[in-house]
Amino acid sequence: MSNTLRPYLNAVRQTLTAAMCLENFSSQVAERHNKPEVEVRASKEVLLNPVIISRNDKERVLIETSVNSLRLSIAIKQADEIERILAHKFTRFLTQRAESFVILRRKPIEGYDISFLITNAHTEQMYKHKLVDFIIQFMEEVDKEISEMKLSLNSRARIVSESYLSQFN
Amino acid sequence: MRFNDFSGISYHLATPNEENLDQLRLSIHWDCWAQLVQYGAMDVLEREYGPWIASPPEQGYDFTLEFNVEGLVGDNDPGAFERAFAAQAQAKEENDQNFDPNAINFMRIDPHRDERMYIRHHRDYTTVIIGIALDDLDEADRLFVRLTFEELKHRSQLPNYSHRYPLVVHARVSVPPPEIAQLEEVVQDSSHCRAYIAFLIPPRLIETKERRDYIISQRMIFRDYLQYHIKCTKGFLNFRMRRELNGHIKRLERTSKDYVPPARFSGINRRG
Repeated sequence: MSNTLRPYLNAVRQTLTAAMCLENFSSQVAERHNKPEVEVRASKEVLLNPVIISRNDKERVLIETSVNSLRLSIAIKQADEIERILAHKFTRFLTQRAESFVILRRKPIEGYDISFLITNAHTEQMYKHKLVDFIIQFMEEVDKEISEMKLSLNSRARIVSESYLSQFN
Repeated sequence: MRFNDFSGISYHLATPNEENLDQLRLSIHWDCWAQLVQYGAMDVLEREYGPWIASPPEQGYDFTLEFNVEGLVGDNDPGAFERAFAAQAQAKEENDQNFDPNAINFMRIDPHRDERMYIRHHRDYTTVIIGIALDDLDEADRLFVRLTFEELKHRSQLPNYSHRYPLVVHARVSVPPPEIAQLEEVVQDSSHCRAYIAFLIPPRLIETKERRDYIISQRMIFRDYLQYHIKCTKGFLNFRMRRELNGHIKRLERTSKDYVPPARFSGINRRG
């Protein structure tokens, strides 16, 4: 399946690089307020068209952009029940610690497992190309981590049952 | 002095005579005592600890032993007092002597609030079915239980191990084994989530008395073993996830414009 991974990640990288052109923009609705427009969605003219990049029907990425903020939502591959539970546990673990993980959103968007919110403040503080690298690497690592956790769960169960049964000998 | 052990059994250890401090009284209280007595526990206990049984038992407890510490023989492991697994021992003995293949009734014992055990003896083997309540576990924990049960079943059925391990014929969550599915308490229980596992113990594993006692105590700790495994798995997953999170946060810090890579020790020969 890795023959679709590289083009998928490349497409996400190109789209992110293009979308991450953010600048400071005060709210047009409330005076002296400055809010991420992609969250507020008050003015239609500052929102761009959302883009979905799909690897297959289970794995996709939604990128919504506005003039001062960008929202990226990822649907993680969950082939069976074990992976579904592990992915759910992992994303909940991350989102509960979203304060230290600056660009993470506390609640994912409907239909997706995890969401990032990147504002102009973040892009002023961090390099854009490094942020894009980070997100691509995050997507790869999450898949890897979930398969490793699944393998280790199975091997732990095997060791436990082996040691219990051998005590009968 | 009162103490409990992890299976929910309470003990009371006292020196009733103040003059004679070697005299000890040990009382035991266990919720499933009535069931054990029904299956003949008193006979086995009288055989094992006959001269020491004090009757009537101490108030609030089910069974009392009084003995003199000096008179205890060296190999009488005090730990053996703590397990009244008489009914299982009897089942094993019946298995050897009694070749009645038509015994349909299961002996039912509830060693713990959340755990039910059914024992039946056949001509060739003894069946032990353990049902463990999973109501207070969340979805992930039930998954761990399911995985462990599947592995137990798989392991026990491997050809090169079959002569050494008891056979696990049924290891499912929420599906009771067909032998007990008609019992009323099982049917009533179907709204709760229970995991069932059925062991078939062949006679060669229980040939000597020591092996029998050992196997009985192994079975008693099955539920505790399972709970401990679940906790360890949760801890392990948390550890992994925390490590991942810390890795991500470090990488995110590196994307910052103010990030300064930590100074590395560049060796002794530095050009000034």
